[in-house]
Amino acid sequence: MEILIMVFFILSVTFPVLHLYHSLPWFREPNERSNNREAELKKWMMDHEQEDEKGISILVPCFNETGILETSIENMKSLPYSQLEVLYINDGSTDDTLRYLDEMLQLKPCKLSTDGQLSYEQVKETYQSELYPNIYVIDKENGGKADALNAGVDYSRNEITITLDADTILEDMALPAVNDTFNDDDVVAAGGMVHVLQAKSKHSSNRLSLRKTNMLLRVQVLDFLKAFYISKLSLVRFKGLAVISGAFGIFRKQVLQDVGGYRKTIGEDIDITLRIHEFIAKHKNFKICFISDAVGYTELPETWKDLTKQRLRWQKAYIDCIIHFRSFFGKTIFSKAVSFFYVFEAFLIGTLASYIMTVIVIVNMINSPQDLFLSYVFFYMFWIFLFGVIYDVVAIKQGKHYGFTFNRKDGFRLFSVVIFDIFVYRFVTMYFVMYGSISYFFNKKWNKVSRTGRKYHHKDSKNAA
Amino acid sequence: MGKKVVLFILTACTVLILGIISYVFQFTTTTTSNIVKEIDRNGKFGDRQEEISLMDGDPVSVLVMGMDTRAGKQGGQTDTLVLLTINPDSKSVKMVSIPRDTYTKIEGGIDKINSAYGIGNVEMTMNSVENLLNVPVDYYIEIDMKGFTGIVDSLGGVEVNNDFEFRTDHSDFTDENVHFPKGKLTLDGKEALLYARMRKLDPRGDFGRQKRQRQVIESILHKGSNLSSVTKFGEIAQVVGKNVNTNFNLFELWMLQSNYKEAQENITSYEIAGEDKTIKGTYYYMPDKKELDRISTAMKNHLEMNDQDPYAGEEKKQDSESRESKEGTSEEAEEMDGEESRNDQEESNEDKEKEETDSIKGENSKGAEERNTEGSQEKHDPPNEQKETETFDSEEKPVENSGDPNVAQVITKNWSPVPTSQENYSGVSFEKGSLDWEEMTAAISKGAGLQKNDMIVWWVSGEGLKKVIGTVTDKAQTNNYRVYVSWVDGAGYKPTKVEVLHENDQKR
Repeated sequence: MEILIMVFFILSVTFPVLHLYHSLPWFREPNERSNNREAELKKWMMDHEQEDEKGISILVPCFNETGILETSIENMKSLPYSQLEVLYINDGSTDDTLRYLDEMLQLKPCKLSTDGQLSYEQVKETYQSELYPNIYVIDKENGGKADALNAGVDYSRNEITITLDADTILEDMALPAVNDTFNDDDVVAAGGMVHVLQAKSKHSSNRLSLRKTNMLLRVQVLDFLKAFYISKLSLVRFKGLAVISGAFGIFRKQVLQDVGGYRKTIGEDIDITLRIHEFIAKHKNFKICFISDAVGYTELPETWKDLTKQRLRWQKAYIDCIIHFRSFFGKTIFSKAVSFFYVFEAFLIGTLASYIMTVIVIVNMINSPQDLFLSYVFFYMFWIFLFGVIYDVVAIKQGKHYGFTFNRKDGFRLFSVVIFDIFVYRFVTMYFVMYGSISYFFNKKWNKVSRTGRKYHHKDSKNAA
Repeated sequence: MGKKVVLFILTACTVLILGIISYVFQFTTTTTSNIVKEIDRNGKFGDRQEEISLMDGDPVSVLVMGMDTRAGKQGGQTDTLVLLTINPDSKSVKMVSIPRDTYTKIEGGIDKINSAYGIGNVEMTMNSVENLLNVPVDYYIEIDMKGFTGIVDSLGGVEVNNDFEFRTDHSDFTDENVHFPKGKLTLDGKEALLYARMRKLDPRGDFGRQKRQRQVIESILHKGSNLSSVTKFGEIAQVVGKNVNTNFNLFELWMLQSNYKEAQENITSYEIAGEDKTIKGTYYYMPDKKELDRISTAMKNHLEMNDQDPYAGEEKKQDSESRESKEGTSEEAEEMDGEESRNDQEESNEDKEKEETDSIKGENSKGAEERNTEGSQEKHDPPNEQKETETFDSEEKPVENSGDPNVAQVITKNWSPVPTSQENYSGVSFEKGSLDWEEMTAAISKGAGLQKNDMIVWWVSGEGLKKVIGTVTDKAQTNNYRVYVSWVDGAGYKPTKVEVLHENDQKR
C-alpha cells in the first residue's frame, strides 16, 4: 500500500514537473516561432502583397448557431489575408441558422467542385456570399461535427485547412502565423493558441482582462493558459501532442484526406490528431506543431451546468480514443511520445489515479484517527497549494512571455482565481474526469454546450477603430 | 538532445526532492501522531524536562513502562517499570527495576506502584516513581506487548545471557511452550516477551524477572544504538505504531540516538531490595529505605544534579549489582534522607511494621503527619528523634542538594497550626473563598511571614490529600516563597517548610 502510494505520488508529480520545465522558453525547438519578425514589418509586407501567402480554407461547422454567427462572420470578413476562403457548413440545423446566414451574407446558390475523397451526408445546396465572395455556405443533412468537417474538407479548395468552432474568432495575425509555419513542408498539422473569448481585452497592450468575467470563466482562463502554454507546449516539443483543439486546428488538406477524414465520434479532434500521428509514424519527417502566435479566442461555458457538459464530453472523448486507438497505443507506448503521454499521463495519472487517490483518502479517513487524517489533509493541502501556485504562476508568466498580459487591475482577481483554482476547481475537474470516464460506457451522447448569444464583434470592431 | 538530458535530470531531481520532502513530512506526522504523546505533568522536579537539552547532551532519565495490555488498548497495568538515567559524558547508563508491587505513595494514597497507571496514567506513574526514588523522571516510554515484540523483531532479535534454564509451558501467562536453555541466547520478539515476563518458574521470583528484563533492555539499547539508517528507524516506527508512546519528540529521539548512543557501552543495574509483605490479604513489596536512598543518590549524581551528598561519591563506587538485604541501620538511612527529600515511604513503612492492621489510608495520613511534624518537638517516637536532630541541623541554612537551583534558602521552623473552625475535614478543597481555602492560605502566609493582605497566591498544588505546596509572593513581588503546608488533625493547617525562591517560578 505504502509503495503503491509512493509510486502514484512520483508518477503524478513527475508529469507536471516535466511539463513545467519543458515549457520554459529555454527548451524551445528551433523555428518554433517562425514569424518572429517584427509584427509591423510583417503587416507592411502583407499590405503590399509581398507575402507569399498559401491558400487557406477556414471550415466552420454550424449546428444551431444563430446566436454566435454574427460574431464569427464579422471576424472572418475582417481577417487580413488574401488567399482565404471561409466555408460555413450548416449541419442540418433545426433553427434558422441558414436564414440567418443568408441575411448576413446575401447568399446565392453556386456550384462548387469536390474532390470526392471523403464521404458525408448528402449536401442539399451550396451558396456563395454576394457581399463577401470568399465566404461560402454548404447546406447539408445533419450528420454531426465530424461529418460536417468531412464535407467542408471535400469542398474546400486550398492547401491548408483550418477548422474552427462557430464561436471561435481569430486574431488578425493568426493566419500569417499559420502561413509562416506551414512554409515548412514537413508540418502537416498544427494547433493554434486558444484563449477565452469572454476575457478578450479591449486594450491591445494587455490582451486579457478579467473584469467582466465571473469566477468560473476566470478559472478557465487560467486553465487554458496552463493547458496551452505549459502542457501542450511541452507535449508538442516531445512530439506528443495528442489533441489539436477542435476550436482552432490547422491541417494540410492532403493529410486530412490521406487519413480518411474525420471519424464520427464524440471527440473528433482527438481522433483526427491521433490518426495523423499514426500517419506520421509511416512518414518520419512529418510533424505536428503548436503555433503560439496563431491566436484564437473561443467562447467558454459561463455556468457550472454548461461547464459540466463540456468537460464530461472531453473526458468521454479521451476514453473513447484510448479504446479506439488501443492497438496503436499498445504497439507504440514506449516508442512514441504521443502514446506514452496519452496512456501514462492522461489515462493512468489523469484518470485512474484520481479514483485511486479518492479511495486512498476515504480509506484513510475511515481508518486513521482524527489527528492523523488531519495531518494527511494538511499535508495534501500544503502540497497542492504550493505546487498549484507554482504551476499557475508559471502559466501566467508563460502567457506574458507570449504577449498575453493581464490588466494591471486584475492582480487581485488573478490571486483569487489561483486560490479558487487550487482549492475548488481542480477537485471539480477531478470529478468531471471520474464521472465522465464512467458515464462514457453508459451514455455516449454529444452534449452540445449552449452558446451565450453574446455579441463580441461589436466591441472588437470598436477596438479596432 | 543535450537540452532533453538537462530536462530529464532537472525533472528527476525535482521529483526526488519533492518525494523526499513528502516522505519526511509523512513520516514525521505519522510517527508523531502514533508514538509521540506529550504529557502535561506537575512533578516534584518542576520543569526539569523542559530545561534539559538533548542537543547539549545533558544527562536524562527515562522511565520505561512495560504495559500488560496486549493490543494498543487503553488501560492495563505497568507490568514493568525500569528507570534509566543516561549520562553521555560519562558514557554510562544506570538502570533500576522497580518491582511492580512496590508499596509506595500514590497521589494521596498508598498502594502498589503499578496501580498508579490505573489512577492517573503515565503522569501519575512518573510522579510516583519520582516520589519513590526521589529522582526526576524526564521522559517516559510506554510500550505494550505488541510494541515490544515489534521492536525486538525489527532490531533482529535480542541477545541475552540466560543463567537459569526454564520452559514456559504450563505457565499461567502463556500457552506457548518455549525452552530457554542456559547460556547465550538470541531471542525473537515473542521469545523475548516470554523471557522478560516469566516469573513463577524462577526461584528468585521477581528479581530474576527484573534481571531478565534488564538484560533485554540492555540488548535493545545496544542494538538500537547501532541503528545507522533513517529507514530502519522508520521501519521500527511503522512496526510499533500505536503500541509505543513516549514524550520524546522525533527530534529528541534523533538526538538521543546520535548523542547518547555511546552511553550504552557501560550499563549499571540496580535492584531495590526490600521485603514481601501481605497487608489485608494483598501482597506488597516493601522497598528498603536505605536501598532506595542509595539508588536515589547514585542516580541523581548520574544526572549531575547539584547534589552535595557526602555519600554520593562513595555510592558511585559501590558495586551496585549486588542485592543487599536490609542490613544498614535506620539511622544511616535517615541521615541520607535529606530534609527536602519529601519521601514518605520510610515513615509509612515503619508505621506499617508497627501497625499492620491500620488501613492504608490511615497509614498514609499518619505518615504524612509525622513527616510534617518533623522539627516540632511534639512527637517523641524514638525513630523520629534522629530525624529531628538531622532536620535541626539543616534548619535555616541554604540547602545545596534541593535539586532546585531556584531555591535560595530553606526554612523549617516549629510553626504552630492555624486554628481551624472546620468540623468535618475531608482533605484540601482548593475552592477559593471556602473556609478551607482561607485557613490554608492563612497557614501559607504564616509560613511565608507575610500579612495575608500583602500576599499574592500564585499557585497551590496538592501533595496528597492533606498537604499542599503554595507559591506566594508579597504584593510588590520582591519576595518569593514556596510554602509547604500540612493538615494536622484536630488542630488545623500548619506550615512545615518554607523555601525562599530566587524568582517566582509560577508566574506565567
